[in-house]
Amino acid sequence: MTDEERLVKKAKKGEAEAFGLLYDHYVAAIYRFILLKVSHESDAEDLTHQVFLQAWQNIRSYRSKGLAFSSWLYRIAANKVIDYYRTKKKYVDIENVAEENLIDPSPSPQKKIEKDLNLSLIKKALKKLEPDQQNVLIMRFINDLSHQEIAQALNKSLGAIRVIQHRALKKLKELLYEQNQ
Amino acid sequence: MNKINKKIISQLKELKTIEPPLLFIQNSRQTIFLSTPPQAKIWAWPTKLAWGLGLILVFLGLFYLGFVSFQKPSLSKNFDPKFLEREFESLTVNFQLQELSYHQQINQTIAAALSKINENDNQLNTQALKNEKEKIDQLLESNYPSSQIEELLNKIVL
Repeated sequence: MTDEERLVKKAKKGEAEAFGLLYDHYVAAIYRFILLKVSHESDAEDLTHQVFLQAWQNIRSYRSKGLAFSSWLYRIAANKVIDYYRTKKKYVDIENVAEENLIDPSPSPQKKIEKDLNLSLIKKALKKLEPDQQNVLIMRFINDLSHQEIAQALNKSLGAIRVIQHRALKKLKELLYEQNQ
Repeated sequence: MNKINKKIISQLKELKTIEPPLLFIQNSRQTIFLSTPPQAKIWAWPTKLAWGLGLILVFLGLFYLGFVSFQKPSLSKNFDPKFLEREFESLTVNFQLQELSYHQQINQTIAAALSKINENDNQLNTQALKNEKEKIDQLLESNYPSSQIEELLNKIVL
């Protein structure tokens, strides 16, 4: 049994401390995923809070069999984002993600400008992808999830995830190329 | 993976630096743990048990119905040659017994009827013949006296 499994087991018994450790481990990744999807800081905070609240209140219904805890959290988060767009109909440009959220210790001014420019372009391109393509790229390359975890979180097969990833990268490449023209 | 893809992926990884504000983490964490902790649903087990038992009963019922219908002679069984042969034999025996009893009754009836007829016939024969003979004799005697008849016969013969 892994440390995470032990923490989940304790949290299922109602131990807040154990769930607190799980929260600390996953809060940044879930917030990042949501912020890149909704492009609005306060909404991202609100949704992240809802994800962990729901997870805490329903942790007894979580079955570790075949579903990683991270996948379960991402599944809740993805559903929250779907509900967010369904109810609020908010379509804020992903470029609005405040740069102060990007932690980069002491970069040189030249490097910072280049980086900001690159990040701005990639966020803009990312926004133009299909929701599933966004999910896969964020989970895989930004939050470092395995294909298996992504498949579980999005309730798709491994093959489907690889296909989505391939198409997403291809599309992103085209979009970045267009932006550079 | 080509160079461009690698570059894109490295650019995507730059977004990994996005972090939630520390104040948000503190507040959110505190609020979550102030909320009601997860509790065991005491009704969950009985409900699941009831559903399970219900399903088992339904399956048993279906199994029983299937078993009962299997026991009853079906159309396919009726076409079994051995079954048909047995049925035919039992039918023949029944038929023969019925026929025998019918013949017995008929024979008795006929015998009784014949004996009755014989009795009547005897009475009819003696009485009727006597009467008839007397009538004929009288008639012949009145119309054709015996002397006349003899003459006529002689004429015909000669």
